Amino acid sequence: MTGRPTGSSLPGVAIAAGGLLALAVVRARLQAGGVPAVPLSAGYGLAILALAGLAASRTTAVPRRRASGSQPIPAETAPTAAPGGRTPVTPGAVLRAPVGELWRTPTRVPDRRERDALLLGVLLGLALLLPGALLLLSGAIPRGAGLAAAFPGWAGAVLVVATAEEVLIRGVLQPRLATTAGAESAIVACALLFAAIHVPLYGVQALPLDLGAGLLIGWLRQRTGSVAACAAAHLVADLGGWFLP
Amino acid sequence: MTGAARLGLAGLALVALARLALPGAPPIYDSAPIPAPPYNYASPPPDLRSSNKAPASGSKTFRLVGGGNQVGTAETADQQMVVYFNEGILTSPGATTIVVKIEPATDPPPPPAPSAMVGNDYRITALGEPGDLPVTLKGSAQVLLQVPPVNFSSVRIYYDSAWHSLAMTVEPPRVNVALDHLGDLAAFEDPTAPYQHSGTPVNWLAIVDSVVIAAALLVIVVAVVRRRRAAKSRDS
Repeated sequence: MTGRPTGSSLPGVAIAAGGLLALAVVRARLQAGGVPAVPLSAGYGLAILALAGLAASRTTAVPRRRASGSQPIPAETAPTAAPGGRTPVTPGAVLRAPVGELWRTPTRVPDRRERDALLLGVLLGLALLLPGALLLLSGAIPRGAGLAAAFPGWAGAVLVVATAEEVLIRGVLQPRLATTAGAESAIVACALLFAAIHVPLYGVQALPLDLGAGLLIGWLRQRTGSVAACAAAHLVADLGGWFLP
Repeated sequence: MTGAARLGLAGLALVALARLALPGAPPIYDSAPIPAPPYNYASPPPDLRSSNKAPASGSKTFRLVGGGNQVGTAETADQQMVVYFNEGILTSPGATTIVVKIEPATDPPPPPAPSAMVGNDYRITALGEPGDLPVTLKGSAQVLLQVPPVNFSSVRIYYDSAWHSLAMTVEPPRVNVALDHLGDLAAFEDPTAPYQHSGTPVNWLAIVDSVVIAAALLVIVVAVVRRRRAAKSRDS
């Protein structure tokens, strides 16, 4: 796990968790009112990214080293801690933090370790699709009924939403919780939050599936230290939902 | 094996179990619902007549095992109606298979006053084969019914010469209901009851969303470009 807070990370965690749940409820209400899905989803994803930046800026748990621990992050990718250990909450810090969380060093080509992490993420995304593929092949449930012309816009919204959720939950919350509660507790807590934010829109029937996916992606974060790998797994699983039941 | 790895394996097992045990549950892991295709009307409104496609029918043959059907769905080809039958809830003594048909009705029963029918009336029938034998539904069949993007207040099933209201869960643009009888299924708008759903697009919100998205993407791109430049100048 990356990052070691030098102070309490609870304010940021509370902001992120509460804000995310509130956003999910608001979004579900807007959706029920007939607001078009794609722009609403993209706006929701960007709001989560802003929340991630705010939460990261409210804590001192900004990782200073890459997952491998071998190379420090460039100074400009890590927000500067103010005297007293707290990162100042400035608009710039809020905007920078999600990018830094997703990919610590965007200025260079990913090394082999990071490519392996991404590959593992893609494979796990395919594993998440496997049960649905089996159901489709068995004829138990029909293929999803999406409108082909809507796919590009929908895929773009999925890209934003999936990445945003991973940046906030696995990128910001999980390492901060891990330092205070332990890695396993952090994985479970983040998986529960991940499942909970889907309930307002999809109902409790979606909870077991999303809880399982959250545990798996949480392990991926713990194993690889890569948020980009988590986003890749999430994205593959989501995009496959267009073609599978 | 570490505790985290055990949690990961448990997660994978939970995904598989949840997906297989709750096949009707949404398969999506984030919050971007798949946009629905335009509604296909049996009797389209005048302004949609030129672009409207006729609604599709569908049928499914269920093999009987131990007197009951195997788990499965029957759905129309355009997916405007999907009916999920749990294992063993369809029975037809003497039959080896049951054929379930879903057809958009061209002669729907008159709606109960003062309601007006919204969208299509779908007729769900089932016969045991061979011999066109009667079929009994023992338990509830789950239905996902797509509704057009207009107000509606109830979903009803027609059997025994009367419309019967159903409890429903609205998941726009679909409604989930549980059937304990087969018959004609349709959504209704009752002017005396509050509406449950409006599919009318809110264009101003879409515009605001688009502007916010464009602005945020611009900020991110600018931030990344500035960081790359800073890194290059530092390296050189």
